[in-house]
Amino acid sequence: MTMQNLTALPYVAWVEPQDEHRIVLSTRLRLARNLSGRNFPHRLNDAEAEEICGKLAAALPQDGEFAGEDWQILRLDELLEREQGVLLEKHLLSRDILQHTQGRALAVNAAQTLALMFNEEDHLRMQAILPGLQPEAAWQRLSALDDRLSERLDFAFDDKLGFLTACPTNLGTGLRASVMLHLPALQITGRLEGIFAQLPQAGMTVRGVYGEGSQSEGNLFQISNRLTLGLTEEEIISRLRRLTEQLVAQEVQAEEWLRANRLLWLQDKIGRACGILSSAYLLSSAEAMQQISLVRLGLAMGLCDKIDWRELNLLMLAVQTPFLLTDSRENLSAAERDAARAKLCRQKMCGSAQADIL
Amino acid sequence: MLCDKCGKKSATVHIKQVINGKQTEQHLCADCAGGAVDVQMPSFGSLDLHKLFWGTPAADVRRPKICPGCGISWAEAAKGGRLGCARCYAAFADELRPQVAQMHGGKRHIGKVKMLNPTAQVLLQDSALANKNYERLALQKQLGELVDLEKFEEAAAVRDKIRSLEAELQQAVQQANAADQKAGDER
Ligand SMILES: [Zn+2]
Ligand SMILES: [Zn+2]
Repeated sequence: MTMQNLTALPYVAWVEPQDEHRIVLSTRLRLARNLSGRNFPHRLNDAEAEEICGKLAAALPQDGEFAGEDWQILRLDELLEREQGVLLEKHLLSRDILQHTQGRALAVNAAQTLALMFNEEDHLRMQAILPGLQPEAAWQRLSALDDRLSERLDFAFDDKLGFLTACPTNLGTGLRASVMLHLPALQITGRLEGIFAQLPQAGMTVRGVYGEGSQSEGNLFQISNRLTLGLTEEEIISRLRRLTEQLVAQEVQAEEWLRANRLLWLQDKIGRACGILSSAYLLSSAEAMQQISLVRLGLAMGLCDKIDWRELNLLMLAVQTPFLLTDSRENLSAAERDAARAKLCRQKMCGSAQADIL
Repeated sequence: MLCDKCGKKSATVHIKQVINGKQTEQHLCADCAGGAVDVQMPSFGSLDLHKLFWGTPAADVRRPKICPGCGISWAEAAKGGRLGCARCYAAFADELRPQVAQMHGGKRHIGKVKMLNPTAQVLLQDSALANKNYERLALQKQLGELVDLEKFEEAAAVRDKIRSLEAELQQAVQQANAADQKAGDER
């Protein structure tokens, strides 16, 4: 993996289609850890933060299960804004860590399934991201990584409170387990808000991947556990799985309702979405995401065959602004961006000129 | 000195006051001071909370609690929503307890536990000791579950087992460290 691939190419492991209904795009598990005897990152000066980055980087496992990871370590203060944006869109980086980039770093494995942020809110935020609904597999990887790191690093821990974190909301396991879901049929049938309102009772929170609330662009939502203390990691993960399976079942029911009651209307919507993506010359990010969401629904329901799953997933990533910018096109006007985005969609939808993108 | 307000008569009344943390002084003549109650009124919208403690016994003057690890005060930590270091959890245990209970339902940690003194090479090299460390980790987890189920007698037995393993491991680590030290000195 080259630096170029990591920070420019619109490809990341989680875009590989997995889930049979294509409703769960990715599973992401994150662990928070801190070194004992050191101030938390917001109380470190840049030199101290640098030193901790070095310590963490040196502890990355290179053998056994982690022999082929080929870790790449990026200093955030050396990245261009566009490259930071690409890493954000790939969900390998958080927005918070970009507030102060000196003494901050990111380590990513070659497969882009493991990403470790150094000196975000905690000294170490490590995450495993896999396509589809795979919380158990992601946990196996992440827990093994945690075990290997803890052979070399002394993590702050308390018998009652578990792993100690800068913010008490992450205490205990330090585990935030989440899935990214595409829920267009529930959105169209107006059931989304009612379902989301029940999530806090289940100990879960939801947020839009692009934009807030149930109006998220592209109908993409991230569901994650709220509690980190007083449960085992396995419990957190199995709760996430059970809840996700329920949401998938509800979405499938909503699809079936649409098929039985609004078929022609839906076919028209999906057909128009294909038309726009394959013929438009200017597409805003919001419109592109809206039309891609409809095409996705079309694929899921067997009402559209203009593009395959993998290509559509890649397109969803590629239309995000940071991927449209290149060294020669660092600053695009809004209109230029919309034109570049529309061109990308036309190429993908017409099944040609892949070479232009990859 | 002439009156600050009318600038004609000489000032006989001197008013000092703190408004929004800034000390101001006014020098007024008897007429102006009498008719000018407003000069005594602080501007609206900001209460000077320090004044609430004015005149109370010295014992009530609160010394801010400071974490010995990082030097952050509880007020600072609470305001930012983040603690300064791991030792803050002990330093501000009383303040944090209700918050943590509200966030997480007052339960104790039952997830993964930390390896004992992981930097000690001896635990990595000696497989018998490593196994004991893993056994300790497993027991620690079991202890949490037993406490959760309120099986306190069994929990006590497990805790004793953990303590004896810990003592054994600590001793092994200390011996290894002493041996390293000696080897280092001889070189
Ligand atoms: Zn006067
Ligand atoms: Zn502290």
